[in-house]
Amino acid sequence: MYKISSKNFKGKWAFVLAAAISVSSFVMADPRKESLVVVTASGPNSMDIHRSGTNRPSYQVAVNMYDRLVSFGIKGSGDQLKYDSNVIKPELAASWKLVDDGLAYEFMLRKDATFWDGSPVTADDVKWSFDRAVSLGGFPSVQMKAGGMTKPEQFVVVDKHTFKVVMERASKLTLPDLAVPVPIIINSKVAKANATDKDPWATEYLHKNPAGGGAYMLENWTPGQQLIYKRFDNWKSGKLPQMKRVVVREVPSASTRRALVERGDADVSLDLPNKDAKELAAKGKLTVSGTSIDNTIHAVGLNVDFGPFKNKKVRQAIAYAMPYQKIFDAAAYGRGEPMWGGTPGDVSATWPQPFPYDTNIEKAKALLIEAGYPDGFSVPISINLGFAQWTEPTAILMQESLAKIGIKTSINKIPGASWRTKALVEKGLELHLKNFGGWLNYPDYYFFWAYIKGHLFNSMNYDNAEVKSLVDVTLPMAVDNAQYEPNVKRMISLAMDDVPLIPLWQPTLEVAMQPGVSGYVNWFHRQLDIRSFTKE
Amino acid sequence: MKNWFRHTIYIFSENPVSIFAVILFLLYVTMALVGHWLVPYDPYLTNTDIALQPPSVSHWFGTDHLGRDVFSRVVIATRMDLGIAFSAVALSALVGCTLGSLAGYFGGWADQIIGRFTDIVMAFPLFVLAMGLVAAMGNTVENIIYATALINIPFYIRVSRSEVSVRRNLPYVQAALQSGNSHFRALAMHIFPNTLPPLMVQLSLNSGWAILNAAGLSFIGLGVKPPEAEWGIMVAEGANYMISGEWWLVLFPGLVLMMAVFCFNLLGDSLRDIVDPLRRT
Amino acid sequence: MKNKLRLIGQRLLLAVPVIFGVVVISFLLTRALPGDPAVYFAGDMADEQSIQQTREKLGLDKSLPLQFMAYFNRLLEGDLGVSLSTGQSVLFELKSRLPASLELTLIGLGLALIIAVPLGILAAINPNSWIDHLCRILVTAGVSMPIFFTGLFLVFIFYYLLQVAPAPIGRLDFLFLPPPHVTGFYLIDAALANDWALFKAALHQLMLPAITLGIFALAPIARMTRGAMLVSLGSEYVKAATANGLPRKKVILIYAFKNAALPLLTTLGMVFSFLLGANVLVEKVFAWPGIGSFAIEALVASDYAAVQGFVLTMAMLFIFINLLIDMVYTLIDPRVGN
Repeated sequence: MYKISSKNFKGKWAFVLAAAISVSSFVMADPRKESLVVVTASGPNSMDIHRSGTNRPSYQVAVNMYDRLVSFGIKGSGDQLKYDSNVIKPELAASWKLVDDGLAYEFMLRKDATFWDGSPVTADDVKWSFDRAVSLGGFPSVQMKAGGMTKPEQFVVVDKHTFKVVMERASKLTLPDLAVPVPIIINSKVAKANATDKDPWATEYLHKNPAGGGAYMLENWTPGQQLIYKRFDNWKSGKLPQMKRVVVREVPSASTRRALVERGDADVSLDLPNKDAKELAAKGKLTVSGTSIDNTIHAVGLNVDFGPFKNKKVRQAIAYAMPYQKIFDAAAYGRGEPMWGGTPGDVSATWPQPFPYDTNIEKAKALLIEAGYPDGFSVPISINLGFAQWTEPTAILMQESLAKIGIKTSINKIPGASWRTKALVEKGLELHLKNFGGWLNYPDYYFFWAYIKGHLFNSMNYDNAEVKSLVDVTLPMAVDNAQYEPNVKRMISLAMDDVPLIPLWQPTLEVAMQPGVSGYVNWFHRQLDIRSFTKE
Repeated sequence: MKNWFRHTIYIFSENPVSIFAVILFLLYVTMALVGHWLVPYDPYLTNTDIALQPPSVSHWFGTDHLGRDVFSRVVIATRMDLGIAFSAVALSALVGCTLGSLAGYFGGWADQIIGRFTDIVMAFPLFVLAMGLVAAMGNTVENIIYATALINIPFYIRVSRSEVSVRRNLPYVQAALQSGNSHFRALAMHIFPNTLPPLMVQLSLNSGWAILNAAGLSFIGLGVKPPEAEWGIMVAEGANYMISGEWWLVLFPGLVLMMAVFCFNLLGDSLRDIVDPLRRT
Repeated sequence: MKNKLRLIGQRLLLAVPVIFGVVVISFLLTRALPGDPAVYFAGDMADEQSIQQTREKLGLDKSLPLQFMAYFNRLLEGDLGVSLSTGQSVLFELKSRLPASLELTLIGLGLALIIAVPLGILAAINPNSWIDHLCRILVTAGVSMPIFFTGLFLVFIFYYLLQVAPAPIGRLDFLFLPPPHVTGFYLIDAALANDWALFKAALHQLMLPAITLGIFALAPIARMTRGAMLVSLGSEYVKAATANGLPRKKVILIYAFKNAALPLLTTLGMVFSFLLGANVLVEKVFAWPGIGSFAIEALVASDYAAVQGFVLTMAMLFIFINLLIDMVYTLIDPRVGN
């Protein structure tokens, strides 16, 4: 602001100033139309998705503030939008083609794209960013590896606007893996200027200072409280978003989030419990978007290292003893896709799909007797406290139902922090409730993580040589390969028969919005993409 | 002793609030003892067909998200909550009084060490200490009791230490010592009984705190295991249903819990009046 | 006076082993927490190798005594470590969050004083009357509710039903940005910046959580006031004042209350510490960005540095408050130290 000292000013200019203010406030009169208030359960702890210790909500920063080479399409209509895993569309790369006998992708970058500071985005920036993702270790490297990218030599700068990714073997996962939040393109000039000998990848700097060219820039970040985005008006990698300013406020209490959106204080409420979604949808005042999450199931894990669960018949008995419908009503409030009651022998090449089990206590009892446990046994049910909303009612209903076939259970609540250690790393939980979702929407990708011995999400310690070799062969295989469908069907049949994992239902991602607000997209990463929002 | 008893009757008869507290206390104890046989429904039996029903003639306090009868659960939770409160308080009184009496009677090094221990525990934010202990040891009923007991120990140490150190040089104690009683006997038989009245106040107040403490732990997810019924966890879970209109899930357990703590606090207050020498004039 | 100073010095010295004890116990407590932070923070898809990398990065592969030595050394340098769950240094977190907690606690305490002291005096003037009983029931009821229940209840009534209170979303509504940082107390900073709209907004957000805390603090203050006033009213000094025909109002407010103020001061210190502890749950209910909500999150995530930093800060604060009250007491009370 100018410092006003002249006495004359008051008389002469006050009118003009007042007029100017009123005009400017008139121009800004509708800031609510171009700004969005979003409430969410938890927020980012870093601006850098590559940093170790970065939490899930931080992925939204990678999505909104950085560009990737490519992105997925969006399908669906009205308020039920979802990403389309079958369509890969340009983001920073205007086009791309397979070269070198199908062993490399060559990307042509947009020539007009710039970073926020106005410097052009070049292939050098892409290489530096990808080198960083495979070199830092931890989560970004693991995710890059899923797409077959493990070392800097695979990333080649052809010229200023041409970039090549060399694959070691052709894989259907490489291109989609470039559309996940991890392979972001960082402004390497800014990053290098803030790198040190000890910290060559500028992790300290980028942790707090994003340096990208994505659709949104950082206006203000108060860790643990709120994040404010402002639009980057020179964004070229897509249609310029409508929202100029987006406030993402952390509100841990689910009922407060519901109240805020019901009262009209917030435009969008994320992480809505199913019950609230169901009730708000029924009331009809707000827009509720609730679509199922791809490649994800809520399930019961049976650890095959635990004595009785070594026996397939015991596992099947438990699958028949689950009170599926009751659980679905009480824990999911009927929102999601049921994953039970499939027709035996009718297997498709999709995942997830209903397993051929339903609630049949007599059959369960008979199977237990066959397995040599006529009087049942005792086993604790372990649940993750972080997901108590669905795990607690599910466990109580399970407990009651298992008691009917003589299996005595106690319910063990485990806090989120120890859950990962106990369930996924030590893999020592006998009977547990779990959910896992694969980012890349292929059944074989899910099986890779959840059904192969030693892999992180195989908390059941399931080990089957045939499943393993099937996954190994199928994982890189193109979907239109003749072998693909029979292979996937075979691994799913084996999983259905062996049931180390009893699917309950496919969960939904629930969001409530004010009328007039639309554009929420259900992404596989489950984080907020503000670029697609519109407001009337 | 007889005098004390008469004084008690006097205080209570003079104070209608205290009478109310005593009646309430007896009611809760009865509920804890025989509640399990009196409840109209099996408090653990789920019935998802009648989930989240408001209070009615058949379900006085309504039903919860799994269709369980809230009234039955509130009643049987009495035993759990009073159990936690009494065990925790008894444990901390036992440990605290022993340590406090030793410190007060012998003084010197024992006093110094016990005093520093007290200071250290008191320097912690007590609720967070309890939280940490339960998180570290696992959220079983026993661990909730241990954690609650530990954070209350310093109060007993302080009370019994000051009471004992005041009395240890009184003539009647010296007389007991000179007539051949051991220190231990003098402490246990002659001094300790006289410290009981102020301890009773502490016991009563602490029972209330213990219930609140368990409720707080439940609120952050460190309470007893499901499907066990406990007031705090019912309030904490019920709170999630307040905005969506199922008020009965939080209101009834909340009221019953509040009345219990209220009753312990009033009792403690009344006992303080009895014990407080200022009031005896 | 010299004696008094020596007494104060002694108290200061005694605080040293206590602080050391707190450091050791909080260290051991965090290590006993379940869950391996390395696993938690290596990320969603981490494999064993990346978990091991994270573990080394965090220094968790070393033995406990070595970890303690490293921790203690860094502590002496004033480095409290980095909070893993918020990604910021613990010192930064505490610095930005402590004012939020203190502001809330002080306002809560202030509210409680305004209500509880008159109640206590009223009860003491009319002992065992219906006024006395009513006061007792009221304040006891306040302290008998689980504090999170009180908070949620107030939110439900005043925000959701009556719509007079703002949403429980922390220190400021969405529309406002924090005032320029001077003290960290939004009320003071907003006033310094002459931004009264912001001041009003901050005050608005403060009301419900402060009332929740205040309700909890009524009982000890009212009780202590009543007790101290009873003693004071019964003293020869006050009796003499009454006998000299001074107006009753003056006797009560000036003579008796002045005498009762000293024990009240001691109680205030205790109540303040007590409220700071109770804050933890209130902050969770109101999404208040104070140190209490920080501690809960940290504990659940086995975030060692954050829990240790929180416990240490609280301990120092408690010790400091007690020392302060001791000192005031020592300096004011003529019986001490001579």
